[in-house]
Amino acid sequence: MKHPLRLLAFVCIMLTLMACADDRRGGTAEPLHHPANAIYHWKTVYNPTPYEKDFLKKHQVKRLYLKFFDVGVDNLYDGKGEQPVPVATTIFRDSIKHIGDVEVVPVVFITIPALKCAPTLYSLAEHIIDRVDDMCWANHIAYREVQLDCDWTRETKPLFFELCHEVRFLLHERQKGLSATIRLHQLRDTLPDIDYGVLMLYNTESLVNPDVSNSILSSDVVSEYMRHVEADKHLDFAFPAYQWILWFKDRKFQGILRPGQDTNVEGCLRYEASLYREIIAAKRAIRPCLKDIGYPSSNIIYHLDSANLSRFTDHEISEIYRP
Amino acid sequence: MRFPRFIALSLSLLLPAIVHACGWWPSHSGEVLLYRIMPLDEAEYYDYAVQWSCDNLIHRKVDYKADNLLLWQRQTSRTIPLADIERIVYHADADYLLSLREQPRPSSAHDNAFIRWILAHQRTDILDFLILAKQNEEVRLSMTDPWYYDVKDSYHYRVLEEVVRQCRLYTKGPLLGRYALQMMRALCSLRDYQACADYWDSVKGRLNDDAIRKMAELRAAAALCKVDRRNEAFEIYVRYGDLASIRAVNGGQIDNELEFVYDRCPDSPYLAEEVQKWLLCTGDDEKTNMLLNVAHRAVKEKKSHQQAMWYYTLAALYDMKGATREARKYLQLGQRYPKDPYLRDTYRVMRIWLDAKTATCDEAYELQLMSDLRWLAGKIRREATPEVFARLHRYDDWGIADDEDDDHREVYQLVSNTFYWNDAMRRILFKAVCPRMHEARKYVREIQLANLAENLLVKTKGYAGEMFAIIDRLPYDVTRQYYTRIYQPLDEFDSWLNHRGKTDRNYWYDILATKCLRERRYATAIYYLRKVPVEFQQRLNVYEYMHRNPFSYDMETFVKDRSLAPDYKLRFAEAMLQYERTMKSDRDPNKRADAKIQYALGLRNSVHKCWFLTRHSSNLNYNSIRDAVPEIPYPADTTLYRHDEYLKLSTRLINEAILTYTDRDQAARQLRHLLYYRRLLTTFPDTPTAHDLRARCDEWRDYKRILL
Repeated sequence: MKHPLRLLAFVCIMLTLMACADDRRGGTAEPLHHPANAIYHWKTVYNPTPYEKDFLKKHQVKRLYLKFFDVGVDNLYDGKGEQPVPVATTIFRDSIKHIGDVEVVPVVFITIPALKCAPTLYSLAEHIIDRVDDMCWANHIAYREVQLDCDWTRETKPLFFELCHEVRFLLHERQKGLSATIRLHQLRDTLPDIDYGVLMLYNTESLVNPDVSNSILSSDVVSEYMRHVEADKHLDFAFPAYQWILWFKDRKFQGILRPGQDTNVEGCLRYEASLYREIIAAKRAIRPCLKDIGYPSSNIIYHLDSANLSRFTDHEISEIYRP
Repeated sequence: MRFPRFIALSLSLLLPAIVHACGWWPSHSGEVLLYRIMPLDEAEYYDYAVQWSCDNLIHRKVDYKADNLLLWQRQTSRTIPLADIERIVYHADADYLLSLREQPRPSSAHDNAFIRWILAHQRTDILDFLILAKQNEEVRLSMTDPWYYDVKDSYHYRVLEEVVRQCRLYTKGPLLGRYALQMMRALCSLRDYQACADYWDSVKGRLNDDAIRKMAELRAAAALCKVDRRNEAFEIYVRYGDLASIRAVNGGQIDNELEFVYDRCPDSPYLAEEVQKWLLCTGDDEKTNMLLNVAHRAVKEKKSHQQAMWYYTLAALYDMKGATREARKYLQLGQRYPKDPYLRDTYRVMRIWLDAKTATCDEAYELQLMSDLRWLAGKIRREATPEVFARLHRYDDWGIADDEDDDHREVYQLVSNTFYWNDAMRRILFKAVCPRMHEARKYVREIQLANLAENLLVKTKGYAGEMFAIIDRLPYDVTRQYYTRIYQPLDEFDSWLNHRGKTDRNYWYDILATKCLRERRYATAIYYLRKVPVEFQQRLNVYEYMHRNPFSYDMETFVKDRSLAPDYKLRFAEAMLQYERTMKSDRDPNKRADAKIQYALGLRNSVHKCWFLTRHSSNLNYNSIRDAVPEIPYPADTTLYRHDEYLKLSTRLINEAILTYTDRDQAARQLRHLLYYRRLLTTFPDTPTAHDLRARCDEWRDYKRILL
């Protein structure tokens, strides 16, 4: 060997490239998180009921995806015109400490207008991360990752992908990770620059369509989606545990009524709920190639609400969480 | 919906466009809000969900800035320009001042007199205070950012707590009031209202009676509200006459807040903005009478030093009620009281307006008017500079800047203040002077003044302005006289007006020709139209319609024949002239009849689907413009544009022509073109055309398309 140093350098470069390639494929070499039972909290006030706290404990929920705020748009009349602003910030009425060793994942919902009017997506990313930092600091939350939720389409995909890229860069600087929710239709596309995704197995059909029988979850629709999908990143799976009443008049959607609301309205009502058998069927419909990429996938329930969760037996919840 | 950069091309285009953006700018002179005692500063911006209302208007805020600058001058040196103080106190940042503090350079090295004075007199205490105040304000400003999340122990809190700590250390000295104010602001931002109220209690007896004390006391009132000492807060607001805060604290319990404040604080700086708001919100009789009552009391009791404002208010209110004589009386009485330059100018505008409303249009008035218009034109030009137009170019017609997304504020300020003088002139001329000139039969002067109003600021390109509403009513001969006086002015006023109006030859040739076409003076129209170059025709706003055949049999179809333009009007006039001659003098009765029918069709179409031959704007666009000149009895559209008259004449000529034909089948063919099938079949049943018609259909009206 005439040039041992050159060989050493070549090996080093190759190793570096392989490390990078791995990172591009599916996130960090070290899994961002470990498999765990998880649940979403999607309310504007964090104040879990005893039932909800008990639920977390009983079902060994170790990760709580907690929506922190939405990013909408507003004109602040400061000469900058319409600009992204945080709205519907969650108010913490209870301390996170009271739910024990549950990891909290801050979730930020990004509206499409906010994406479109951001002066730069880097500045938006900075705003989001700084605010998440502040909220976590103020509420004594030690977070390890942030999740972005966005209903992007092919048209708005470049914007959201760039935002993910910027947010992930900022989070990695802080040794934290980024995940994103993935809707079924989005799975047909490439995935953004994230460490992992959460496949939302709900809202499978249009709720405004009067001909749909249950827009929350249809395992048939999930199966249909599953025919031609692949993923190059780790996915966890979120299943619905909610119900609502949809109000139609002359076949036109009028609004959503929550259980307990006055249903004495003109027109017809469609009661929808996530059914246990549909959830299990949807779980089965998920293609094996989407599961356990890099490390075992987790199951997540949407969302932490005693009125909805109490419709399920403990056994059913355990089955939903079963890997 | 974005349009190209055009907003400032013409004021007459700009203003209606802005109406859409912000909901209230005048679309014509009749909507101009004339009464002003102060410039308008800000508006509650347009919200698509909320209709604009006067209550959303916010005017120049009372910020004690001028008083504060004067106080700094008193505390340092009266030789320091206020602008230099303002640059440092209001615009410099903390880093700049810190660098001065840490590495002071010789005072002569600075271009700011305030800084030079501080360094020369080694007043580091002033620098220290300014640095602290800047840091305080910067942090407080950042806390208003929507992305800010209130975190105890954050950087923001630490800075504010440090501000409070340092302020507490300053217990005596010339800057005590300033430190007190900063401390109270910091405490309120920390939401420690109790500490703020307590501190105010302890320090208020030691503060000088100056602008800083006023600001601190108003801040204290805000804190007192929070610690359940609302009565004390209310007393402070009453003392300062802060109407909005009184309203907020008292919850709308006081019926006439304006009078309430006037009684307790007749010199309240907040009164002017409230009065201005009321003056803009005309139409509410109850409010008008309430304001009238307060204004009468103010001029009678003389408690207020703002006598000029109150007299102006009375003049405006009486003018609003149509009592011009009273309005003039109060305006005259107010002339002798001191006033700021803005009010001085609006006094003059009001005087010109009231003069115009009552003027007899004699020579003396015209001289006075010329002098007034000279002043007003100068004012308009000084305000609406090319720089202003350049700024407006950045916005589209929704008030949205090309490079800054949505922001109506600058557009609002520019349009409501900079263009106010032009708006006022338009209203004075269109609503008052022109009608008076019309009554006095001074039609040429009427057109000249309308031209000035329309074109002083920007030469309009369109033909839909109020000047056209006026020209439309006047006959060709008068317009011709006006045109003559462009080149042969009779007096100095003529020359002055000509110089400022739009006197472009091609523009007027087209107008004169159009009036001739309307009056069936085709030979004269040809004379003018031959002088209008094609390039000019192509710039006409009606050029895009010049593909409709003016001799079409069909009244409604709009077949596009692009070969008709250019020289559309000229060709029409030449054809009409030729038809006119043929129908009058050809020996062949069939040719005479054919020409008569063509002439009748041209006449009908020139006031109908080819309306742009005889006027410059369609009826639809004219409706609001015509509202602008309601003083003059205005003929109905049909009369003005001879619509019905020419339709009747056209029908009569066609009937005559049919009777003239000696060739029965030729007559039948014309009737067929005109869709007069019944008449064809009853009058000329034995002609080949009638045979053909019968062979083709039994319900001929239903088969019109097949037949054609």
